[in-house]
Amino acid sequence: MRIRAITFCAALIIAAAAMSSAQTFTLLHVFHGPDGGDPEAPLLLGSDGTLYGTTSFGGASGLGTAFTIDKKNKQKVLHSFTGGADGQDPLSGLLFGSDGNLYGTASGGGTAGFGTLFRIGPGNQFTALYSFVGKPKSSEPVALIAAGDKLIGSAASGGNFFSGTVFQFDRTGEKVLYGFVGGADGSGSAGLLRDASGNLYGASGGGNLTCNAPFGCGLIFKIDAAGNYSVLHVFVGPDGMYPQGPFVRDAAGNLYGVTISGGTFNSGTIFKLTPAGILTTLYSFTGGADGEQPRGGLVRDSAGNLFGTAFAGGTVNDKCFGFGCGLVYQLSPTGAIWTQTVLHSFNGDDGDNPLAPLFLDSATHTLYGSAHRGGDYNCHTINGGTSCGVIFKVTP
Amino acid sequence: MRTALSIAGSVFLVLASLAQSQTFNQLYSFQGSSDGGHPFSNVVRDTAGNIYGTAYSGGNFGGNCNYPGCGVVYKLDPAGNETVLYTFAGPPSDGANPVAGIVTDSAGNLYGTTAYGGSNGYGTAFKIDPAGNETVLHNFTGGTDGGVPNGGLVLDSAGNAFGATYTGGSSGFGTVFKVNAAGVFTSIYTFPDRAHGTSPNASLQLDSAGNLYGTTQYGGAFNRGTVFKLDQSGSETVLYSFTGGTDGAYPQSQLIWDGASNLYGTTTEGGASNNGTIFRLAPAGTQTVLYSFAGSPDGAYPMAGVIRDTAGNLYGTTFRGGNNSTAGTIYKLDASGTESSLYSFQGSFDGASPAGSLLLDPSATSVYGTGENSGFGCCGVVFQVTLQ
Repeated sequence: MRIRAITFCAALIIAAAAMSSAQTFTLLHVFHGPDGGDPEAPLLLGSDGTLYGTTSFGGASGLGTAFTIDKKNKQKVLHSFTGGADGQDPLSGLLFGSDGNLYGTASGGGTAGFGTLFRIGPGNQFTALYSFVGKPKSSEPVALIAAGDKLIGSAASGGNFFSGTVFQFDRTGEKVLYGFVGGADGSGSAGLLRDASGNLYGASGGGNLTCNAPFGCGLIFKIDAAGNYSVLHVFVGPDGMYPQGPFVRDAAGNLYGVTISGGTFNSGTIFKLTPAGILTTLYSFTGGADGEQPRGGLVRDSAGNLFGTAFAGGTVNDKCFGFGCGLVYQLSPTGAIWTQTVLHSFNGDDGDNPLAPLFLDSATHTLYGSAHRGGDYNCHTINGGTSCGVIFKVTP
Repeated sequence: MRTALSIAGSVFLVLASLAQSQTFNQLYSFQGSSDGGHPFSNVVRDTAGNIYGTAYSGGNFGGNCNYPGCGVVYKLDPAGNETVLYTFAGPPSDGANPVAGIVTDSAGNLYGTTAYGGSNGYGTAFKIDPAGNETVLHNFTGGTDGGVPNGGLVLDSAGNAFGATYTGGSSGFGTVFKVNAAGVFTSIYTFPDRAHGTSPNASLQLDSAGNLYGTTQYGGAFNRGTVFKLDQSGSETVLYSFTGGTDGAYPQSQLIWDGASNLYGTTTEGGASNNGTIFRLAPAGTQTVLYSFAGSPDGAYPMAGVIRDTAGNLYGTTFRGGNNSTAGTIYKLDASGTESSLYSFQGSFDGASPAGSLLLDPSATSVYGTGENSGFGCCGVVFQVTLQ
């Protein structure tokens, strides 16, 4: 199994090299179940080269893990979620709070079953700090970012209208920054971006409800530092459907992001939104070798190149039932022309269906990411899947 | 099957209990197949009592339509028999997914819009002659001419049709357009920036001087939507910017007038409990909230505008909320501001989610409308509520 994987990997590197400039793909870890499974949250690279992350399944109880992978690619489970007071199914990654401890959220479990906020302190001591309570506050938290001495996140449910929230934690507890009504103002959200002025940007559902009626095709919102909520763009389909955070932002204040579907080929888009609210589609995925369904948001390097993953598409592969297994791509500007390049097309053994945002290590210009599936096809059966996903790095 | 019958029985009981003051009648239930599905539009009615409207989906499932279909224009006779007058072929030759209803001229032609489809995927304006032949009057490009006309058309006495697009224009914030009687398309206004309002989502209203009035779902001073006027010279004025507070937010209703030149409409959100409002805008620009929806039992998220009888009563629908369900309501707001429920959808065999405005028959004895979901079929209903 291992030998076959390496062979496939080598063949792919040659194929990929033909597509663009030299890049290297390295498989850092293959999940087998007890060590975690089905990663879908962003990774974090610590200053010592350790990767921090969560998996939504796997671990001792099959209900998710918090883990590290050190520089020698040794993986370690920091916590196996039990579904009790500690929570279950973490969907946020891990982040460092201003106190140096790791923080994250679990989407379920806790005393009310609506998820938890947890801390992992020195010696990997796990503490459930808060159990989400639901309406009028949040439930099912799905993303978390650091904001000075506060933590800000988004929840898929809860709020006065059960349509999700953006929430904040400080020493006094949970505060709902915005509760979605579930219509023209949006419905739920995921990954957030916070700029240096403290403004938050995110993607939501809803909007124009007669696009893919009655659900709407999603929108982009902003919550300014004073807490004012505003809708910046509403998607109608040809310009994209179902935007996904986290976005990235350039010095001029333009936002860059992806939509899962819609666009010219209904296979997803990469867009730019100016501060005046004018949206330009930079790239429409064809659903072929260039990928489809970009889901993990974008990262951006100092030269202005954008990097992301496509959930499906890419090189056709038996492991993915004659379809592509998804890929890692780069989108680069030359003046006003944007060119997409496939950095790595997954083959199943080295990953399948990447879901999570990438992490860009600027110092080494290396991308770290995860694939939700692929790797060990004899993995656990807890989640009904056959494979448990992988952790990888790509140097463009 | 036995379960289904018993549930159906309970629905009839509910209907019967409401019948003391008014009766809800389901005139037609869409199957979501060739007969159409998910009607978002209002209906119009001819002197013979036939009802006309559009269904968002169903119809043609081939070509570029796929699931859920490209939609139809239908006719419902007084006996409840449905006829599909036109089935949209979908892109690239034809439109798809009409959201708005149709308007008719004196020659019996039907005019309307499709929100999607057409040669560019950004919708069409169309005409259907009495023989059932369709002409695409304009294929929206999503560029300067606009895109995604969610609202329908309004005709002036010279046979010009006016409408608005949700997106497109030079900034992507929407446009107002005109198609003259010869079928020539002209873009007459582009919403230039947020301050002027963005994303008009409803049909426009004409006054006798030829000025157009409408709502934008977003934009304005607080980015919570506007009421605007576009005069004949193409100059736009924001008559009111919603703050998103108790005055309402995100209107997507068509506007109507009373005899004193007050405008009436609804907002989907905002109001005292953020479940939407019914408002009046006086000629001097003073906005008054006539009613704030609480969600239950009165309804929430009114997408449709209101209609008004000669006594000053307003009638409308809410897309969500209601009595023990979230399937929407049909309401009356009397001239003194008292709201009463005409019907609260159960969201099962009776239908759900009314999105279009109501039609009052000439004798003011019934209102007619649609629910876009559920019903005895799968996919929406046409209903009548008798008022006496």
